[in-house]
Amino acid sequence: MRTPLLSGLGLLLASCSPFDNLPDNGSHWIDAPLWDAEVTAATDGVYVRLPYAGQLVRVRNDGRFDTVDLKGAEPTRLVPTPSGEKVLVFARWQSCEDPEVAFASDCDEDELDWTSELAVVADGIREAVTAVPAHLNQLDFAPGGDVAVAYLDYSLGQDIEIENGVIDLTEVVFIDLVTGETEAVSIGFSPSNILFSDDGTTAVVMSRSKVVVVDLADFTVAVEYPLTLDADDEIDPSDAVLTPTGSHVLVAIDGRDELYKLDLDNYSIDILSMDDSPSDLAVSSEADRTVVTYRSLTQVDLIEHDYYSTESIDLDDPMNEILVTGNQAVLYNSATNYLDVYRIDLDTTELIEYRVANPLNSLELTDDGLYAVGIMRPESSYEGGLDGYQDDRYGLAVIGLEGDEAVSLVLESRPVGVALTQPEEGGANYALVLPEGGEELLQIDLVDPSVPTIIELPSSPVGIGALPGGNFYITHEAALGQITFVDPLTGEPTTVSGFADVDLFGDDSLPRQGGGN
Amino acid sequence: MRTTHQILAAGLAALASAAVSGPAHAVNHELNIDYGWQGAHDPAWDFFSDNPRIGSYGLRGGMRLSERVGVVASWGRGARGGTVYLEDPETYDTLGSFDLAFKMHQVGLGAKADLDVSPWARPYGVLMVTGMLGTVLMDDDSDEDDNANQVRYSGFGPGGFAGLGVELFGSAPEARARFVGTLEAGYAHTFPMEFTASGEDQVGELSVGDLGFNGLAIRMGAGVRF
Repeated sequence: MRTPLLSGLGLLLASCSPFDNLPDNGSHWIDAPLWDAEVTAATDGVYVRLPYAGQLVRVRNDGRFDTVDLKGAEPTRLVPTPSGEKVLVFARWQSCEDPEVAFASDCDEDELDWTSELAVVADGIREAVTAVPAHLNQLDFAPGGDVAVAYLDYSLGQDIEIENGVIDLTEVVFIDLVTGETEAVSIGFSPSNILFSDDGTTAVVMSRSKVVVVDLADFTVAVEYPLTLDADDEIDPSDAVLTPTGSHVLVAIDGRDELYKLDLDNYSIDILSMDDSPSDLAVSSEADRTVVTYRSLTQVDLIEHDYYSTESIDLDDPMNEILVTGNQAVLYNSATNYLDVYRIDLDTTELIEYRVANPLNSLELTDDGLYAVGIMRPESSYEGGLDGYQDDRYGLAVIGLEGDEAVSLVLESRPVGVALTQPEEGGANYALVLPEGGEELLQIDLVDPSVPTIIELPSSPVGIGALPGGNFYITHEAALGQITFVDPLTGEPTTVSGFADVDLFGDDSLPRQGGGN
Repeated sequence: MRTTHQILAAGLAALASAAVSGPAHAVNHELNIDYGWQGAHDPAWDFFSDNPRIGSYGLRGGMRLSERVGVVASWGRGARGGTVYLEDPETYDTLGSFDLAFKMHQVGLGAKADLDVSPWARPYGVLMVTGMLGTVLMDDDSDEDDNANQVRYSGFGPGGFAGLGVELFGSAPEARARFVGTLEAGYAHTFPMEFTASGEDQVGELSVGDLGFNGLAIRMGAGVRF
């Protein structure tokens, strides 16, 4: 009798891949993605929201992953500090007025409440937590990264959550990221566009018809600048810059041919008359000048900061965007089909003109300011031949800012994204380009952009970004989560998978019912 | 399915072997192949099936220790799963999908007592402690054999089963091996299995959650007593 039994057991233990012939008994629907591919890069890895499970996962540079304990709160939005050493997590947690109830499904709907908070996470650990009104969805950071300001950016298009029945649309909240202390300050309607002095002692906050200066030592309002004396007049600042010494703020107003000059030392306002309504402002600390461009005027203005006199330089086309690196300004137009890109030496006012093949969607500078890299979009063209071929396609523009050469590459398909990095200080600059629909990554050494290296990827990519350490990450189209890290020096990809199913079967228990945070 | 056939074939072969080679005396040993199901009311079970029970097939063997009482041991296995679709809550667009499956092996050890009420039918009661080794499998690209996102979690849940049944004999009492059909019902409980994985790409153990079973359990089978 033993022989048949043993042979039966042997057959039982005969192994094949457990993933072969998975049972198929029907379908189940989940009303959320398991992970949000809009990830947040920090020095210690990439932080990923899991919307369905309400969890936060850190996928580390070394290819491993772990969960971040937010004490039961579910993350709704992540913002890294400028240094990348911390991640601020907008989070919320649910509670029931009846303290005996342990599960949300057991609580009357009108007794269920959400409470918002802002958690400070470093190295995968929740270090501090502060109470921040739920409707404040954006953060700016003071130099040094120890102070943040939370405010409502209505343009993000998120639902405005009203906690406790009322919200104040005039307030911003200053957060000391070291102690976790917060201070709400009433600024004016729709506060936004927050500037910080280089020494981190002062914040300048724009709002409708008002500019407020806040002393960051005690988060008190030092001075208010009304932008109009007529209460019926609504003035919305469109852009603003702080001069390098922190003595003046220049404010552009939507539709007005002028700049407001606010003197922060002597508390006074002057108005600088401009030739048109500015489209962009930028400051070069090195050259101590403000650069002003216009939407439809073929001119760039340079304003020096001693007497605020303006020097105008004529252009062939209007430029609506400014990038500044050191004492150089790079101008381009992302709104219309102009093909010119300019570089201005702000010390000598020398103007270099570059020409790219197609209109630019975007332009980025490398950290060392030696290259500008942009994505070009197709343009309608009546030209035939090779010009028409190039016009019909997406492309990549690589501009060497030390010379006067611009290389326009044709891309096989629309790029999902482009990331720039310089892995070693003083070393080579790389652009990594993800073409749509493929399973490969183009690694472009900007010294020789015409010969890319192709890196094979495990699946279709959906996004790319640079990590503070110089590596890249690529997010993939994978339901259970997939991120590839690439070291541009070696081209070696490391793929991490399957992190999005953490706590998939979690229940609806109320995590802080009965206290604790 | 190939594995299922192999196991059933092995069971049948063992039964046939026992029937022809067993000693010709009183009914002291039993060997059954059986099929049945047990209740699955854990909310996590919704991921695997709309049906609140899991079916399984397996083997049960026993040995009589005294006139009316014996010891029994069992093994069973079952699987359930399907496709999980991810949906945008606002647009209702499908964002992706993955295959999800639960596979389990369950072993049991316990005591069985019967009543000799008829030469052809024998009621009995059984009480067993059980252990379930469960595996959760996920695969977001099942067309790809070596998809990196083939994720596997496992967990163990102890439990128990108490039931009443009846054996219906198909051959004469004096036969040296008697064929028998069984039907039993009772209550089964498996404490939640915490599904964890600790692969080299994870820091510590990560959990996908837990899953337990409880409720009515029904089994039917065929076997031999010898």
